[in-house]
Amino acid sequence: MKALTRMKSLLLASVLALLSACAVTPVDVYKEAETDGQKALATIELARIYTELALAVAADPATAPEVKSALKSANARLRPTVDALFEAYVDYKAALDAWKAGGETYTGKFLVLAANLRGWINAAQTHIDAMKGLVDKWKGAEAAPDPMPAFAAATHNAEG
Amino acid sequence: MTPAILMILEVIWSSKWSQGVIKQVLGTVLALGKQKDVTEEKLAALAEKLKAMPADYDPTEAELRAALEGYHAASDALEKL
Repeated sequence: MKALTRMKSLLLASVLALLSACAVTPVDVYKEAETDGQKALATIELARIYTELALAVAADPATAPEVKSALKSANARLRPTVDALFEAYVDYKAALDAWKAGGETYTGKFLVLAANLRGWINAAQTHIDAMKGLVDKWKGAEAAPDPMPAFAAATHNAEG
Repeated sequence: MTPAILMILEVIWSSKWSQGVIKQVLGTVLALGKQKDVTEEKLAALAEKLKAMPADYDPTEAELRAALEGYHAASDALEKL
C-alpha cells in the first residue's frame, strides 16, 4: 500500500512538472518584460530563437527549395528591423542614462527616442511572427522517424 | 492552477489503479516530458531571465549587443544555406 502511495506521489509530481513546463509562448515571454529595454532584449532573443529554428528546418535535406527560399526571405526582412531596433535602443539608453544621472531634463527628444524604439520593437515582432508561422508550418520534418545525419548536425549547431 | 488540472490530479490521487497501471501512466508522462520542444525550453529560459530582472531595469548596451551577436550568427547561417 505504501509503495502504491509513493508511486502515486511520483506520478503527481511528474504531471505537475510537465504541466508547469508546458506551452510557453512569445506572449508569455513579453508578459515578463516590464521596461522598454527588457522588451527590446526579449525581441532580439525571440528573433534568435525562431531564426535558429528556421535554420534547422531549412537545413533539412527533405525541405522543399521553395520553403527554404521563404525562410530566407523572412530572414532578410527580419534582420534590418532587428539591427534598427538595436540602434534605437543604443540612442534610447544613452538618453535614459543621461536623464537618470540628472545631466539632462526629461525632454521631448527622449519621448521621441522611446517612441522610435517601440516602433522598431513592433516592426520586429511582426517579422518574428511571420517567421514563427513559417517554422510552425514546416517544422514537422523535425519529427521524421529517421533524420538525415546532415539535418541532425545542423539542428545540433542551431541549438548551440 | 486551473480546475481542469486540479481534476486530473484528483483523478490520479483517488484512483484505484494498480502499480502496473501507474507505472504505465508514469512512463507515458515521463516520455512526454522528454519530448518537450527545445524551443519551449528556450522560451521558458528567456521568460525566467526577464522575470529575474528588477521591474525598472533596462539592460545594458553590452547585454543587447551579446543578444544581437547570437541572432546574427543564426541569421548569417540561414542566409548562407
